[in-house]
Amino acid sequence: MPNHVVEQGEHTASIAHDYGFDSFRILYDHAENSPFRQERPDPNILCPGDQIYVPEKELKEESGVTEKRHRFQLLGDPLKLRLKLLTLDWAGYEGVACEMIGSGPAKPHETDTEGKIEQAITPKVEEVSLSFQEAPDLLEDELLLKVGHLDPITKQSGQAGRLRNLGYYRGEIPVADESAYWSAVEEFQCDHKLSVDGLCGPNTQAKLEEIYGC
Amino acid sequence: MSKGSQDNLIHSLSEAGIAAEHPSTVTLPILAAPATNQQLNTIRPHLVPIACWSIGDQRFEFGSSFILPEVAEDVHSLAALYRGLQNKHGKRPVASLFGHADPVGEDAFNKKLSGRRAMAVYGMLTRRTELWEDIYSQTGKFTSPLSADDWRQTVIDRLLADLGYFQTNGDNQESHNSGDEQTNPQSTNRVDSVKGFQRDFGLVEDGIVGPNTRNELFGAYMDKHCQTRNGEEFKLELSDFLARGEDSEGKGDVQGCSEFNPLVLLSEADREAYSKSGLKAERDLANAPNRRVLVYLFHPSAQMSPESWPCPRVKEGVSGCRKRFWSNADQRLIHGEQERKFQQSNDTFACRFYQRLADNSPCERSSIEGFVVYLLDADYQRLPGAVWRVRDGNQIIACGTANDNAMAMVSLASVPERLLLEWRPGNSERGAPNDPQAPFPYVSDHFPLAADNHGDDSFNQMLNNLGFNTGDDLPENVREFQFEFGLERTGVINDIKQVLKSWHDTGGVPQTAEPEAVEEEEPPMDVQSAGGGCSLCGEEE
Repeated sequence: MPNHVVEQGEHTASIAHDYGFDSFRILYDHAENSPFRQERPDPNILCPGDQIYVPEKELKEESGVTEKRHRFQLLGDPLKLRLKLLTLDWAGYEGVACEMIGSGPAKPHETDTEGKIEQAITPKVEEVSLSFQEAPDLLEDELLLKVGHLDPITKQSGQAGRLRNLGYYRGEIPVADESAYWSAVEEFQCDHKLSVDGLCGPNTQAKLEEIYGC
Repeated sequence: MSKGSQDNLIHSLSEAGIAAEHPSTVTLPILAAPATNQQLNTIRPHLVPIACWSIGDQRFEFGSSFILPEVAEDVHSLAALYRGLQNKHGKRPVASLFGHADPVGEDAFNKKLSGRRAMAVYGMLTRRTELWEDIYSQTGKFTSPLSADDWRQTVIDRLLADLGYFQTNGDNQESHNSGDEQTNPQSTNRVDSVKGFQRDFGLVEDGIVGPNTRNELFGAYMDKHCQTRNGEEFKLELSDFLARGEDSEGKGDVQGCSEFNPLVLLSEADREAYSKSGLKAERDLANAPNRRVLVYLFHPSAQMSPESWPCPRVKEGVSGCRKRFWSNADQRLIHGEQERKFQQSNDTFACRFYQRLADNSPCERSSIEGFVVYLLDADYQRLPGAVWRVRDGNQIIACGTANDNAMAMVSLASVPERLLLEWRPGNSERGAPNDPQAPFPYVSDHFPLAADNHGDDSFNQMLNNLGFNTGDDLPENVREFQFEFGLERTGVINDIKQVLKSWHDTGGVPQTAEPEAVEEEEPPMDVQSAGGGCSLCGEEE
C-alpha cells in the first residue's frame, strides 16, 4: 500500500479511521513509521504533506472454545478534545458554562478550577464550536475550533497557531505579516523569561509547547 | 471641529486631537489538536483596543503638564466616543492612558514629563485632584518630581483667571493664553481674587492659596473643562480603567512612555540643523507630533492585574520600559538619512508592547495636516505676534497668532489647494479673529501646497503666495516680480526660478524689495502644534 499523504486537518487517528483501523497505534507504532515518529513526536499534530505508511489490514486469528460466548474488546483509542481557557492574567476561567457543538449532540460543560474542559470525540470530528452562555472576558460568544489543524511546533504555522490561541499573534495562518509574527514571538519570549530575539528556536519552541499544552 | 473625512473610523478630528474606533477584528478559528494523552489546547484572549482618543502638544502649556482650557472641545469628543461605545457594548469601555514625549532631551527626563502629562489627564478625567496636587507640589507620590515642569509659576493665576476670578491689566480675561504675566502676584488684586474664590467655595478667606484652596481650584477647573457637549458632567471612576484602579499609583491605568514611541523621527541632517541655536522653535515644531497623550479604550470586560501589566508606574524609571523593547529597538529610534513616520514605515516605536496596542490605531496613524507661513508687513518686515486667519471660501476654518518669529502654524484636518489668508499686526485690536466682520488689512490668496507641486503651475502659485498675482498669466507675474526687484523684465520663469524658490521655501527676501504686502512661506509639514494660536474657530456643530 502506498504511503498516505497527510492533508490539513488530518491526524493519525483520523487517518487510521479512514483506512478502517480502529487504533492510531497500528499506524503510528508500525516499524515502517519509525522515521515518521522521529519527525512527529505527537501523533495528533501532523503536517500537510507528511507521508505515513499504512499497513495492510490483517486478519487476526483468535482461538476460542466453541459453543461459548467470547468477548472481544476493540482496542479503540479514547480520542478527546482538551481545552484550557485562561484570562488575560493567565488564571483559569473557573466555572464557565459552555456547550461543545459538532461532536455529536451538543454537550454542556463547565470549566474546572484550572479552566479546563474535555470532551470525547470521534476521529473524524473536525469542526467544533464552543458556545458560551455568557462569554467570559474578551472571548467571543462562540469559538470555532478546527480539530487536527494545528501544525507541528517545528513549523512556523504551528508556532503561529499556538501563539494565536494564546493571544499573542493576530494574523493569518500561513503567516503573511512577518512583523506581526515577530512581535508575537518576542512578546511570548519576554513574558516567559526567554531571551528576546524574535526567533522561534528550540528553546522558544519547547517553552511554547509547554505553555500551550502540545 | 471637523468630522473625520479620512476614514469612517474617525469620529472627530480637531487641530489637536482625534477620537476614533479601531478597526473591528475578524475572529480567526482556533487551530486545535486532539488529545490521545495529556495534550491540551490553551486559549487566552487578545488584548486589543476598540477605540482611541489622542490630544496633542498644543493642549498643554509648552514643556509643562498643565492642561489648557482648549481641551474642553476634545473632551466633548471623548464623551461622545464613550456614549457610542456604551450603546454598542452595553457598558462603558475601560481605559488605559499613555503619555509620550519627543526625542529631544534625555529619556529619564522625558519619562517624567510624559508620565506627568498622562497623569494630569487621568486626574482630570477622574476628578482626582490629589494627582494634580502631587504634580503641583512635586511630592513624588504619583508622579516624578520635575523642576522644569513647575506649576507654581503660573498655573494658579491661570486657574483663577479661567474661572473668572482673576483680572489682569484691568481687562476681564476669561482665559490666559500668554505666559506674559504683568501682574505682581503679591498685589491686592490677586489676593482679592483668591478671597472671592474662597468665599464662593466655602473655604477660609485668607487670600492664600494653600492645599485646600488648590483642591477646589483644580476641581472647579476640571469640572468646567470636562463635560459632554450637552454640558453634562463627564467623569470616570477607578473601575473605568483596565486595572480597575487596583494599584494606588495607577499601574495598568496610566503610564508615561518617555521618548520611546515617536510618530516622527527627523532625518539626522534635520536633527543636526535644528540643534543649532536660534532654531528651538522650529525644532520643537518639527517634533510636535511626538508630544501627545493617548487614551486606549478596551472592551468593558477586559481587565489586567497590575502585576501582569508590563509598563512601569508613572513615577518609576525607564528600565521597565526597556524590558518590553523590540530586540532591534536601537535601530528603530535612529535618526537616519530620511525622515521616518510611524504611519508610513511602522518602525519608529521602540516599545513592542505599546506598538501592539497602537498598530491599528487611527489616532496614531492619522496626521493632522498643516503648513507654516511667515507673515510680513508692507515693508517686508516680519510681524511677530501677527493675528491671522484662514478662510476656505467664506468660512473661517482656522485662526491664530504668529509666534515671536512671525511664524504662523496653520493646522487643519486636511489642507485644501487654495485658501484665503488674512492677517494683521498683533497689537491692533480690531475684533476677535473669528468674527467675520473684523477687518484684516493684509489679505492674500494662498496655495499651501505650491512648494510640493512641480511644473509651471507651482511657480505661478508660489508667485501668488508672495503677492505677485495681478497678472493674467505666468509671464506677467514673472515680470511683476522682476520689476519689484529691479531685474530685467523678461517674463521668463527660468530666469527667476532660483531666487523665487529660495524666497518661497526658506525666507531669503531678495535685496531690492519694494513695499508690498506679501508673505514668505515654508514647505508644508505635518503640524500638531499651533503654539500661540487660539482655538479652532468656525461653526459649531
